[in-house]
Amino acid sequence: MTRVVHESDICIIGSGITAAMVAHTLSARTNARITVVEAGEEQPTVRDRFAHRQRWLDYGESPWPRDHIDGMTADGLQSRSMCVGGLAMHWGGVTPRWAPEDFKTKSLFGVGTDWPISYEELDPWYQRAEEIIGVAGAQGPPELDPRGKPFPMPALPLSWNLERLKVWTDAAGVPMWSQPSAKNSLRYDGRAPCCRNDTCFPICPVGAKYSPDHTWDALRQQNRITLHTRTLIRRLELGGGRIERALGSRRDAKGTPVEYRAKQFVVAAGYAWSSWLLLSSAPDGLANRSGLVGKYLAGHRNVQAFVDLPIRLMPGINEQHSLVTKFFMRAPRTNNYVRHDLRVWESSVGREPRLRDGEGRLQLGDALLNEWRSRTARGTARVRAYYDVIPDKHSELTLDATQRSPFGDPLPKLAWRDDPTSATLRGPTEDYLKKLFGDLARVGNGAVIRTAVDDFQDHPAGGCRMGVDPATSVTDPHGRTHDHENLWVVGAPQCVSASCANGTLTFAALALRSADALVREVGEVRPPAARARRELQQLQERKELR
Amino acid sequence: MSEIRAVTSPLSRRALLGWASSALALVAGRRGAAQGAGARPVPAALARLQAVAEVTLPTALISGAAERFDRWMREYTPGAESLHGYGDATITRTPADPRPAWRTQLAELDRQALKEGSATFAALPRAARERIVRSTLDALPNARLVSDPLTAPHVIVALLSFALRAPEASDLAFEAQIGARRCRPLEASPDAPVPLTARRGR
Repeated sequence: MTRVVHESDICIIGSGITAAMVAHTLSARTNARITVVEAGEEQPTVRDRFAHRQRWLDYGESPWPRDHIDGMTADGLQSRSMCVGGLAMHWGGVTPRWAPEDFKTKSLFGVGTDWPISYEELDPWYQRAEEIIGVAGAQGPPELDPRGKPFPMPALPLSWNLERLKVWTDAAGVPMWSQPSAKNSLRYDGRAPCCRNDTCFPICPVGAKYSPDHTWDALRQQNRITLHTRTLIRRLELGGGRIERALGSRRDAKGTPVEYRAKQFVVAAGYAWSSWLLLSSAPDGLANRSGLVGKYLAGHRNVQAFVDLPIRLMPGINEQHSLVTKFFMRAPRTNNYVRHDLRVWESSVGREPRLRDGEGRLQLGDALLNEWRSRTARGTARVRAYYDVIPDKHSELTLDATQRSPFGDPLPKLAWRDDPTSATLRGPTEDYLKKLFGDLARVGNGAVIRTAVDDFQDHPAGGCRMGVDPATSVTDPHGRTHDHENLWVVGAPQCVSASCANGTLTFAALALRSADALVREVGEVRPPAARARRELQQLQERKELR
Repeated sequence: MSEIRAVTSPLSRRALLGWASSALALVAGRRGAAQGAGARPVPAALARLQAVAEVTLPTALISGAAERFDRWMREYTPGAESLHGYGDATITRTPADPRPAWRTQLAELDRQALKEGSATFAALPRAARERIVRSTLDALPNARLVSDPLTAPHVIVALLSFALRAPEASDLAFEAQIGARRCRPLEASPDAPVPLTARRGR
């Protein structure tokens, strides 16, 4: 079968949020020809999202049709998303920065591995990620929430419910503030402000929540990139120590083979498929001199509770928005390593209609309503903490020869493991968090209704960890692989650990930092006058709208 | 065709006719406005749903509830792909079609009505209807409202769960215009929702 060959300067594999950050940067600051290759399909435009959202609300149908590929799955995978925009098409839009301590757990607490970069070094790229994505946030107490510049948008206001819950958390001595979010608090970058549709996850029907398709649409409209969909890259091939080409198959009936030739290759396929591609590319894996491709998969687990409080709340005002604190992330060194975030939401748990009253009597009609009303004088808070899990070397992605993709390639297999310290501390950590929730409840004269612990590690990362030493890391601190000068792995796979807070903003910041290194590699050019004018125009529009 | 097989053998001729009329309404609904105005009779199944709604729902939620439930039921697609979130790579699908069982259960209400000396459940006095509903629900093991009405064990539970999950029901319980899941100005979120009485007073 004839192989179709495409040539460009930069080939980006994957089209999720980190790929979007890289393409955004390179297209603005270089004249490089950029090709983005995505295995999955386009997703519904903003115009169609209300209808998809309604089917989800009515029947639980997925609002993202064809957002995955049949047969491309794995044991231990966190999500099947494989589409234009990736997982960030249905993320919650929650964008905390990680804490300075996350980058030096070995030095400060004697656990895990220090990153080769510090929080302070990453701060400018956090800022740029917040500006590109559009983050609305409140500055927390500076000693807890250090940052170089203000957020690009004012915070989402605390709802009436959250204001009341904040009185409770203040009384408990826990400083909390508005959760930074990639949701517009005002019109931003041509997208609408949030109007509290309450379905940020899984779908924002108005485009107020950032998703990577917004970046792809803009870049395609300006002819700054070429995006090929339905094309699965199956391996990278070397020529003289450099990556010479990426080989893949079109996901059409014939599986037409395709080849991408480029000067630089950027693997931006997330925590699972990035490692999978490198391992699939050579018998011992590509960029795998250290033997660490696929190793040190990282994430965090959560413990949550629902707390009954003598506070009247009205669930549904803005139910996906929350209070947040970094109070417990910035903990001093203790004998046992426990670091976690804390968030508080309004909740309807315990305030739902019931068919039977407390005594088990059947309630119908107005009696049912009256019984329901009798339970609305009090409120329920949902409290949840992600706690840091130190990744083990054998928390790993390997190839599973017994499971094959539709193209006959071995599929990945993921095994999640805590390192020995975290494994030992798991029980005590979860007990401590349950006790913390109980203590918080008591301060508010309330009681814990129930607690739950998720078994899986959320916001997965790692697999191609960064480092200075090629013997103990896959990429350098900028995401360039130690072994191949024109191969970059960006975003989640670069992470050394996964903190105890949502990771997407950090993945985006790391990708932007890699993109800057790529710009230096490719050569920065002054933006053409027309583009400069357009950017100035957009900047003015943003300022006017504020 | 599978729906027909599910209801033919155990049902009376009248129940079968009732089901047939609702099946025709289903087809008519799918064809949309092709039928002329006034050409569509109120199906027996809808009348039964209305009769159930009247004795189970809070007064303020009765109006239009049966029609909304009927339309929601008709537009359901069994086996559609469900939302797959974080933490699990499994692709799940929406439940098997509950409508055949629900139609059988509605027809059973008519059979209960026969014992009370009425031709149909809908024709029974309110107290008798409530008695049948209570007895039906009491016979269900662990009958409770469900977040997904498609998984309800009985059509009465499905109708109640459907109507009570609506934002209007929640507003009624909290006696305020919260308007959950509706587009509302962000800047108003710090304000207490307006009491329902304020709306009535206008």
